Parts: sequence; structure tokens; C-alpha cells
Amino acid sequence: MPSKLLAVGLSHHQAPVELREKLVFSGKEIAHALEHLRSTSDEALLISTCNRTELYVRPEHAELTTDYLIDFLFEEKKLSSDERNTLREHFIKLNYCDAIIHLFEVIAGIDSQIIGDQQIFTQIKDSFKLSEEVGSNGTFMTKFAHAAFRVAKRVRTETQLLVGAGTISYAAVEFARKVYDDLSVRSALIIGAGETAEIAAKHLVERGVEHLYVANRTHENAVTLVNTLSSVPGSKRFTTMTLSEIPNYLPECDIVISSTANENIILSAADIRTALKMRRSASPLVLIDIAVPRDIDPKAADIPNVFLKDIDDLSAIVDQNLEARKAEIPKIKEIITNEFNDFLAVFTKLEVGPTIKELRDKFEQIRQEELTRNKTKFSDAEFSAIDDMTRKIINRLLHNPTVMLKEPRSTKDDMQSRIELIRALFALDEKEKESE
Amino acid sequence: MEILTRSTQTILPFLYGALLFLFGSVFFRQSASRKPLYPLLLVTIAVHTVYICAFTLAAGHCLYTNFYEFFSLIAFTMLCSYTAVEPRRKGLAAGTGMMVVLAGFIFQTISSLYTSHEHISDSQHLFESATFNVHIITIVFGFSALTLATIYGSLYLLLYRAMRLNEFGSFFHEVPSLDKLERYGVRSSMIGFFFLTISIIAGAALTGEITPVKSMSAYLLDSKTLTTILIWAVFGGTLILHKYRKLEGKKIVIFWMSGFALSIISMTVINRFVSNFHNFF
Repeated sequence: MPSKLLAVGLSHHQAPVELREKLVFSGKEIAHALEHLRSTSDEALLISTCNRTELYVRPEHAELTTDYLIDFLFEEKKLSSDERNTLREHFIKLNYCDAIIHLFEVIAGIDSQIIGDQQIFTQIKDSFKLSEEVGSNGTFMTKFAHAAFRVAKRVRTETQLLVGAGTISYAAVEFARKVYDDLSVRSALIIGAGETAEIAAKHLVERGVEHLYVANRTHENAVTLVNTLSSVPGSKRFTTMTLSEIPNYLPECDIVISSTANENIILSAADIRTALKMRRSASPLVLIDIAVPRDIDPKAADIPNVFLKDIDDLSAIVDQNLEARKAEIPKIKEIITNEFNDFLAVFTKLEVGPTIKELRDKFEQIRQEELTRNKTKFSDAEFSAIDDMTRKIINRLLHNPTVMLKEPRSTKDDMQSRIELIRALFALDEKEKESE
Repeated sequence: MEILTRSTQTILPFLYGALLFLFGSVFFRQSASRKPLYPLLLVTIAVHTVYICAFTLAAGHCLYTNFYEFFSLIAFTMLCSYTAVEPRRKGLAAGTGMMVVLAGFIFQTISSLYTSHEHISDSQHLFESATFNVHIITIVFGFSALTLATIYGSLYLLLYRAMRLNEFGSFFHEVPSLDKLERYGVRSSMIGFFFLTISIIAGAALTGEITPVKSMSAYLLDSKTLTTILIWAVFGGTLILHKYRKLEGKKIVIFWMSGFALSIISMTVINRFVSNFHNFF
């Protein structure tokens, strides 16, 4: 009987990036892995991000263990024996309740490297979708997914976990939004085309910035970044330029975010003063310098109507936000406990239903066999009375075990042990083994 | 009616106090729930409306025969203007709300403590005039909305300063963006400008109604009328410059604060040396 939920995983808590990267699965690889798992498990979910790879399985056979699942992942990634040995000790292995609660904590964002990371929700949602597409998602996983999404929604709406920025590039955009909350009527300039610049640009585009200028020493890289950004929902107008062209476009911009590897100052205080004189608007100019060494002349901070913030200023915002997020964890754990209990009730019904049916079927089968065997010994009237009487006896005998299975329990393990006790007492699994 | 007036008069400071407590909780303890803010805001406005109506029916005039009565009207109009300017059910900004409710709480508490129930009757004919009532109510609404614009302006300057100095505490988190504060300020000054326009027109009509022998020039040359027209011109001019000359950011805030300072100084001087009513009355 499929009664367990097993989970194995590797995350930033247990393993450094050089180990984690060996177990990163692409969408295609996840689909293949789930298909291969279908011979041994009823339902499965494989989550793979840059910070974690986790496999949740509802096994078909009781013999399927967490070690088997770890080996399965190694096999799928075709890792060498040395790699396997190194990685094995970093895995977490979870059963039943622990696996459920763990996924709830992951989707809530409290298990993330940056507490409150919102990306993980989308990644888990995509994983459930993929599992559904390849046919690895049954009743249990569907209900599991719904419960997990409910946790994420409640965390979003009932707590302050997602308030404020958790990363420097997000803090840069959040700071800009503290000046201009409606970016759909604002223009922004991104200087640089590296990873940090790209993340900041994505945040700006997602928040609907009206016109995004991208400047880079190598113009081709600016064009590549714009091509990447064009696919982001909310993208509008883009203009690319080289660093020398910045002064021409600066008067058009309300926000400037700079993140290059340049050794020298790119934007001087004189450039900024000139741009301010040429601006049509009297609203403030927001300059955010995330680069080390800095790209924008620090003297610009003294210019009236200019906000200049560097990486240290933004770190102060991030640190405060992360502290505030940590303070929300007890509230989130309470939400998880509530949702876990609700899910348990559903899960119990899923588990208990088949056991009660099998129990009743087995008793009925024995009754029918005995009646058939002794039918000739009784008249029709007597047989009818015996038939009725034996049915009642069975109903009365099964009343207590049925009630015991259905009644609410304090823990999932308690429920599981009762199911297993009933199945062992009445040898319900023997029939399955015989048929196999 | 008397019982209803007295009971609502007693309840109102507590309602403003509860509202202030809730806004304060959200402002200082960001984990506090915002859910009850908007319903309590509406309840306070509803109870205050009942109080004004009950008082008017019992006294035969609205809350404008002395300063203490006026204070209640100011608290009410400020809360109404705030609700109209920041109509956000789920995300009321605790920073601005706390400032408005604090002012409302002080005004209403003083008013509830000192408003007497011995009604005056010598100006009863004036209180029954619809034009007079429109004139008074709109001037209170007008000045309250302009006060609100000044509150938004003050918050703008405080946030601007906090952001320049890297002070990212509760104030940074709980006050709306500079952009929004400016927008709300513009909205408030538009409301204030609209009500002041009506009040000035109603005042002119009232002069013709009650003192037909005196010319319109007496109304226009009256010190209170002149000051009101000057304040009206400052806020109106600000709105025109904002619309057509891109008057934005700190500059527009300075205009609002100048207009508000002008109104406070002129009203204090006029009330010190001139009677409660206009010179020509």
C-alpha cells in the first residue's frame, strides 16, 4: 500500500555551491528522472534550483528507501563513485511529517539562503507543474501542492516576511521606489551589463519602468542584456549606448543604477550638475552605485535634489529588512503548523479510505466463502436468516476498528502506525503480495 | 437628541484615541495588523457625522459658534479629507495617518471637554441661513484640506532628509514614497482650493443677503476676506504652476508651507485685533 512520503535533498545549508552544482537538474532532466521513477513510485516531485535539489516521493513499495532515492539521483546525473561518496554525507533524509513540513518551510521562504526569497515559490510551482505534465502527480501530490501554495499565500498576506528588500540589487530598486513609486512614468539608466546590473534591470522592468537605458563599455553586451530583458513581462522601451554616450542621455533619466567593474569614475559630479540643469523635471535624481570601486563621484551626494547611495548605504537597508524578516519566523511557523494539521486531515482520509475498504472487502469475502461452502446445509429461509445475521456480526466486529481509523489524531505517525497495525492484524497486504 | 449629542461627544475622543493607538502600533511595530485601521476610520467618521447632526438639531446651528466647537469640525474635516486623499483600504500609510489622527485626537479631545450645551440664541437668524452654513462648512473643509497638504509637505521634507542621511527606520518604511506624498499633497490642495472657492463665493452671497446696504467692496476689503483670498491665490497659483510649469518636489512643498504659515499668522493677528466675525457685519 502506498503509505509513505519520502524526501531527500541537498541545499545551501548542507553543501557548498561546488557540490550543489553537481546535482542541478534542468527542466528536461527533471522530466526524464520523474519518468524513470514511475516504475517504483506512485507520485514524485523533483525541485532543482541553484540552492537546492530535493526529491519527494510517494513510493509504491515499502522497500523503497531514502538511500535508494539518493542513489537514483546520482545515477540520473551519472556521477562518479568519488563524487557520490562526497555528496552522500551532505544529504538530508525526511519521512512523512518532516518531509511535508520541510516543503512548507521551503515554499514559505524561511529555509532560503536569503530569508523571504520570493523566487522559490515560482520554482516550486513550476516543479509541481512539471510533475503533473509527466504524469507523476496524483491525488496526494495535487493536495500537497495546494496546501503548499496556501502556506505561501498566507505568508504573503498575513506576515511582513516579504516587506522590504533582501538583496542589494533589490534594495537599489526599492530605494528608487521610495522616491518614485510609479515607475511606469519614469526612465532609468543601468550602467554595466554584468549579473548584478542584470538583476537590478530585471527588477526595474518587472516594476514597469517606462524607458530603460543600458550603457556598457562593450556595446554588444548592452544589446545582449536588452535582448534578455525583452522577454521579461512588463518590458517597454529600451535604448543601448556606450559609456561615453551617458552624458547625452542622463538628463532624460530619473534613476541611475551603476554596477561595472571599471577602475575609474564613470559619472562625475560635473556631468550630474550639467544633466540636472538640462532636466525638464524638478523631481529628484536617484543615483545608486553598487559597484566596487565606485562608478559615481561621491561628491555628487552634496548636489541638491540628488540622492546618491552606494553599496554600504544599501547594505544598511538590507540588514534591517533581514532582521525584521527573522522576527516574522514564529508567526510563519504557526501558519505552517495550522496548514500541516489541515493537510493531515485530508491526508488521513486519503490513507484510511482504502484500508477500511480492503478490511471490509476481506471480511465480506470470508463471509461469502463460508456461506457458499455451507449453503446446502440450510433451507432457503434459514440461509437468508444466516446471511443477514453474519452481515450484522461483521458490521459490529468492524465498527470499532473503523471508528478508530477515522478518528482525528495528534500526529501523522500515530495515524500511520494504526493503519499498519490494522493491516498487519488482518493480513491485508498478503493479497497484494500474492497477486504480485 | 441631547442624550445622543452628549454620548457621541464623549465617545469621539476614545474613538480618535483608539485610531491613534492602531496607527501608532503599525508605525512603531511593523508586525501589527493593519486590517482594523480602515473600518475604525470609517466608524469614527460615521460617529462624528452623527455627533454633528445631533448637535446641529439640538442647538439649531452647526459647530461654529466658538473655538471649541470649531475644533471638532476641524478634526472631522481633516479625517474626511485624509480618507478622500488616501483611499486605500488595505494599505493605509501609518506615517501620514498617525499625524492626521494625532491632530484630530487633540482637537476633538479639547472640543469634547469644553463644548457646552448652553446654546446661544442671539444670532439664530444667521445660523438658519443656508448660505451662511455653506460659507462656514466649506471654509473649515478648505482650511483642513490645506492643513493636510501641509502635513504631507512636512512628511515629504522629513522623508527627504531621512533618505539623504541614510536613516532607514520606521519612518522610512511607514511613510509613503516622496512621489506619493507630493501627489497626496496636490490632491489635498485641490480639495482645499475647491472648498475655499465655494466659501469665498458663498461669503459674497451672504454679504448681499444680510447686509444689503453695504457694498460688495466692504466684503472684499475685509481683512479676513483678503487673507482668505490671498491663501486661496497661493494654493491656486501652486496648482497652476504644478500643472503647467512642472513645479515639483521640494519647491511645491515650500509653497504649501508658505501658504499655511500665511494662514496661521494672518488668522492669529486678525483674531487678536479684530472681532470673531467680519468687520462689516
